[in-house]
Amino acid sequence: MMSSPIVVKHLTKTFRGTRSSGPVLALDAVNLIVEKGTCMAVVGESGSGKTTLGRIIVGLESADSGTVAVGGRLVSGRATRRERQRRSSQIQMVFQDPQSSLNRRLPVRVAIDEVLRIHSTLGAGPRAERCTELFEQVGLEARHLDALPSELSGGQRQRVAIARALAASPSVIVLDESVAALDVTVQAQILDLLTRLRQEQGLTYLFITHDLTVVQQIADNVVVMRKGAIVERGPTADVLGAPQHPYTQLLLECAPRPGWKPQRGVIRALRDESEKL
Amino acid sequence: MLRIENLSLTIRAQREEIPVLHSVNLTVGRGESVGIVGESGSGKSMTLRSILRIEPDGSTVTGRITFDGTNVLELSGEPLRRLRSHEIAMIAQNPHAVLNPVLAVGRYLVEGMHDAQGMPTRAAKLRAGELLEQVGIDDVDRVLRSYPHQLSGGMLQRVVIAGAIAGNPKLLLADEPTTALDVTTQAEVMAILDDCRRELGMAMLFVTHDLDLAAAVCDRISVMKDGVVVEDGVPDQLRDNPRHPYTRELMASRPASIAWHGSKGATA
Repeated sequence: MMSSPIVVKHLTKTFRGTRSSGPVLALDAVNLIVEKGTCMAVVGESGSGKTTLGRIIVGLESADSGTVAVGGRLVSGRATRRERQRRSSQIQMVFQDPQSSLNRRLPVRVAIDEVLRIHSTLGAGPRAERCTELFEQVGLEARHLDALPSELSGGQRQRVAIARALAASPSVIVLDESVAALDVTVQAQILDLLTRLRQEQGLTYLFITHDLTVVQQIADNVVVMRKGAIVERGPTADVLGAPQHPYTQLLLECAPRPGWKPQRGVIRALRDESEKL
Repeated sequence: MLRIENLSLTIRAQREEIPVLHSVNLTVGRGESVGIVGESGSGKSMTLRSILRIEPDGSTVTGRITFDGTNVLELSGEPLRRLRSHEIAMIAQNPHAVLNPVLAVGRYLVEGMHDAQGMPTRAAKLRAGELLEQVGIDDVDRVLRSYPHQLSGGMLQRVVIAGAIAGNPKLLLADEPTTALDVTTQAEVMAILDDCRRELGMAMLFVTHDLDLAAAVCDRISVMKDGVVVEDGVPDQLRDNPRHPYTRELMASRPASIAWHGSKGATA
């Protein structure tokens, strides 16, 4: 039997926190399964644990307890160098701001080529060809390969980050607020690109975001996180159309939409109700 | 009350002249709320900054900005200072940039009122408490004693709003004041801003990249792109019947098909 690309069981993580805050429970026994070829959105506000969840799944952070299996292989504790490399050929991450993950002194080609050197046995010529191919896939032109990150727009840089993730030929991509810093028109283009790539290549996405409109644009399923726990989960249309948990209702109530008028009383009532649970 | 006519602005950067605004026209009536919606580089913030004459050094500004009949572009010295302290207030995205990290929030508010309005310290202290209540803060005394690093972003933005409305300005300039906040905090701060504005009869010029956000608190909206106002109108008209292709593109980028239409609490 084929196992699901991401299986998370009872994942728990506590951060030491500051002297005044004390220990912070970032993840509280989280369970999550993402099926092959689907996009799962993880939605929540700051401090919900959504980013920590993504970082543990790709191996940038280790959990206190619980398990993560990626592509059927159990991943636990601190990974060895070889284990990290094996995992990165299976799962890649795209961050919010590619400016901080691309070397600003080097042409972006170097970033893609480096991944190909690690994850393939291709020689220099074929690697250069593959770079061009990857750039075409993400809607960039070959001439962009020799640009510095600063010579590209925010949307183009995010396309570079996606091309770099694809260079490792992963089956899963974790996207952490990957469109949050972009203008809305560019956001729509990147979301379209991501959906097309997923369909063409059978990729599986874990899409971490605070933005319900983005969830609706890209995800098949969604989990809603609050204070380290999943409070609601289900198909996107169900969760956004008929939210059961007061916190999900609060998030939806607060999302700007046509005809929306934020009201202090309504927001406070939903907030109080969700705090009680 | 505020009338911007043919405003053009060019920034000089490394001996290059970069045009930022092209013949912008915009009016805000007394007590009216007007939005400027645009993406990065559209010139929306620069329009706002020109009104207070805080555009970057070396900029060339042409056109007219009149506030209650006075041409702001000709003001300097005391009259300009008076405009900034008594007539027009501004709030921006990052409250940390405004607040002094080594002053308790209460002292920030009291000193502001003392310096700008010449209010005696004792009266200013009382007023600071009232202002914080007005912006929806429950534990006023604790917040007054707190330093900025001890408060959340939403709390700090409320403090900044309190400071901005302290002098009963006629116009509030708001430059993406909720962009850095979580969605639920954003909604609360927007509701507070709208309530305060109405109670005080204050006009507002609200800059944002989010059309639905602007529509929630504005009577009219101007859509800007590349330094030009491409379209203006009332929110419903822009949403239902956009004339300019760019406005249509903006709408299409944020599909509004979330089926949720309010909680039990919202309909009750």
